[in-house]
Amino acid sequence: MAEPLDAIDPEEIVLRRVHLQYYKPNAPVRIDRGAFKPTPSDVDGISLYRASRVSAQQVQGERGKPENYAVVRLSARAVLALGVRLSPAERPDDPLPGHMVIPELNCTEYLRDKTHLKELTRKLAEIANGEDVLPPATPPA
Amino acid sequence: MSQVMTPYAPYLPEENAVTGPLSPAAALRRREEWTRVVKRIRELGGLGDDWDGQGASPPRRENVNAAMRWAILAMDQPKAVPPTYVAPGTMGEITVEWESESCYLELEFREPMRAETMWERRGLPTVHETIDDPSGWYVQEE
Repeated sequence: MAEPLDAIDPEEIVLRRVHLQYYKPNAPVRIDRGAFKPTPSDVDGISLYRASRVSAQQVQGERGKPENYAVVRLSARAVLALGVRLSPAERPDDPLPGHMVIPELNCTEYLRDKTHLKELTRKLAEIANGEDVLPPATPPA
Repeated sequence: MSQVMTPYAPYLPEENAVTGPLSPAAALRRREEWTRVVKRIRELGGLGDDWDGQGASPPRRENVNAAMRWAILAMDQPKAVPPTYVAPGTMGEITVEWESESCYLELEFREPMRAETMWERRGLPTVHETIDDPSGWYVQEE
């Protein structure tokens, strides 16, 4: 069966917005695993964006406070190798194109299968550590 | 009874390694680190709804209080190693972490009288535990 046109290519890069609270530039793993924990709003999985459709700077600034967010670039191949999916999930109200989710990392599943998904979030943080990170923007003077 | 997690010690950076009693200066430094940990936990208690702009719940008051109580008790243990980071969770929890190049250990306050640990060491399976009363639990050097 043919893949849907918007299916992720393992060679793609995906972007994850990371709140300042989870950015630890001096730690051995500088992105805290909390950056990949679902929130109660993540009923369909945590959000990412395709780097082929949107820039890291756009993702960082989408909430209007780029000084509060870092953006990590993740190899789709490395993420898929963890046994999760990267599902396109364009949202009509999303100002940015290229929205995707990791369906396995949704808030219900996280509470149900905590030990496994805790380890998964930590592995995502370790992958992010080996990749480029756009640090939080310098706050305006 | 105190629960002591000792095997973290070999993985600490050299400058943090302690094999005998702490010198007064080191004890003071460690006290200051613990004070920062307590301050950080208190600050996280001030986060509001949707603090991350992505729908996160604020840390629950009872989890903040449990983490504070734990930290205040641990700081009185002369060899208790302060966490390297304290993070808010996305669903009301507070997580304290010890991290080095080859070891990651976290203590997560998710319920008032219960905490969960996750302990990763390079080359070994990850260990998860639930602690019914974390108030006497701490990490120390060997």
